[in-house]
Amino acid sequence: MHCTLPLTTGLGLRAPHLADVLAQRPPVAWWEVHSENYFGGGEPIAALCQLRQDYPISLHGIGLGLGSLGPLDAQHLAQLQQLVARVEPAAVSEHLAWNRHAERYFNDLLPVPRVEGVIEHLAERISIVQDTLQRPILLENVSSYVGFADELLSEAELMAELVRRTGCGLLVDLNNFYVNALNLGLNAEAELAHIAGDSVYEIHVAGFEWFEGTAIDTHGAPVSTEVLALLRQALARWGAKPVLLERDTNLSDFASLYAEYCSLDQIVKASAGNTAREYV
Amino acid sequence: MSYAQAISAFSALLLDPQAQSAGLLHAARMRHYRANCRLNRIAALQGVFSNVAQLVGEDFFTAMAREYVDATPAHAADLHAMGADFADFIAQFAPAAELPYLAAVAQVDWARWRAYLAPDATTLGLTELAALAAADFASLQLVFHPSLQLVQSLHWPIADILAMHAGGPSADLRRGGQQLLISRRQWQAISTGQWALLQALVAGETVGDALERALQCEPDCDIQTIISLLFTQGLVLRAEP
Repeated sequence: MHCTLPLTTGLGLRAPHLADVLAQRPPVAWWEVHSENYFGGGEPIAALCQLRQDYPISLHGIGLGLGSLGPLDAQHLAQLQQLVARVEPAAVSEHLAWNRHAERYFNDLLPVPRVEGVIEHLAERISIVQDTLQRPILLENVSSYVGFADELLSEAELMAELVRRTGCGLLVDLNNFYVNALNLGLNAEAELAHIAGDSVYEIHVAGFEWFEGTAIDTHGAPVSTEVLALLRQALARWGAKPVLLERDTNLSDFASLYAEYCSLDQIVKASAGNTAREYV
Repeated sequence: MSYAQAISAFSALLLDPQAQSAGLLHAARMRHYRANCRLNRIAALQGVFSNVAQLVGEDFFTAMAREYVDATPAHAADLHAMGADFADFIAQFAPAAELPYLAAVAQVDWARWRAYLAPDATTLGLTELAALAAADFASLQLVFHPSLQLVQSLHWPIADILAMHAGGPSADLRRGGQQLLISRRQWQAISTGQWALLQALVAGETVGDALERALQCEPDCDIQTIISLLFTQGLVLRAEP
């Protein structure tokens, strides 16, 4: 598997913190950025290439829309391909989501209906992306506020099946499983049990907020104690993994985010026994 | 229900809360997706149109951006690629009529954003530049760096307005239109002749033909300054015979 992230804690890097991070070079083990923020040239990509000299970088896509009907967005995929070639990242990931219908885009991560045809549809598109990028990608589960009647399998079961069919790896977002448990009554621990540890190459944790009785995956609050408990369980079950702290909204200054990163890093190190294990 | 049918049903409900919620559970929660799509686009516009946002204040901007987002389907997944027609929307947005030059400022914001994110490209080196001097310069066509942007406001002194906004002297709004040359590094006012020259060059005309247009438009046009600026700022990628 083409994933060489260190088996320790990483941090999501957002534009407001970029200047501080470039100037201070904090001891963060690795960074993850949203791929789309580095499409094009100029300052953003120059800054990322500079960071890439000192840190492993994970490229995390939010707009490819693997589950959308019709062919993949060729321009988007070409831009991603250029970015991957230029950055040579430690990992490339995308969401198990769709974002386009009838030439109209929806700028959010929409959950795929797990009904007849879903496995073939996604397997085909994941394979196209992997062939284009010439490397496997990591597939991430998303938060869902709605569900579909008569779904054939759970999201974790779908992920496991796509690993078998395409050779992709998994990025397990524990907050998304927990949010889905709150909103849809799923059992997050049972979902994790469907996932084989050797298919997991990255874990995400983040915070959610309540809006009108729905738990929304805003990445705008500290990680909940329930999600931290899931993290301890997952690391105990799967061994050491790269774990990312994501924060996108209600962003404070970098020093506060870094403090949160350090306390998460303590948990990660304690849970995984800080074993250094190489990927094959 | 097939995968395609399920996606179509989901999409219909995203666009219209009254649509059939066939097979969808918790369909009332679709409002969170509608809100997310809208908020993500409004936040992206706020980043791109920073001068417009500062001029009108956050509340007004959000309300205006919301109307634009609701009226304009998104045609790209990349949020940074959206907003090309926001200036046109502002021009006909009645509540913004009190600030009649707002659409011109939006045009500048968009051009600066395109310049900021334009692809990287290798510009003409010194050796190639030296070789050019010997060639028949008038017969060449110039290929520009993708970050080069030209903006013209026919009615508003857009350069003076931007300078005023940046803390400079008060702009005389009655002095008429202005033109701007925008690159990654800076923006600057250019004359009507310089504008005609650059427009012609961008359209692929030879240097000689473009010079003729510039002098027709403005007989005492400062050609030397604008040509040397193109080269010193690294805005020329190639000169082709």
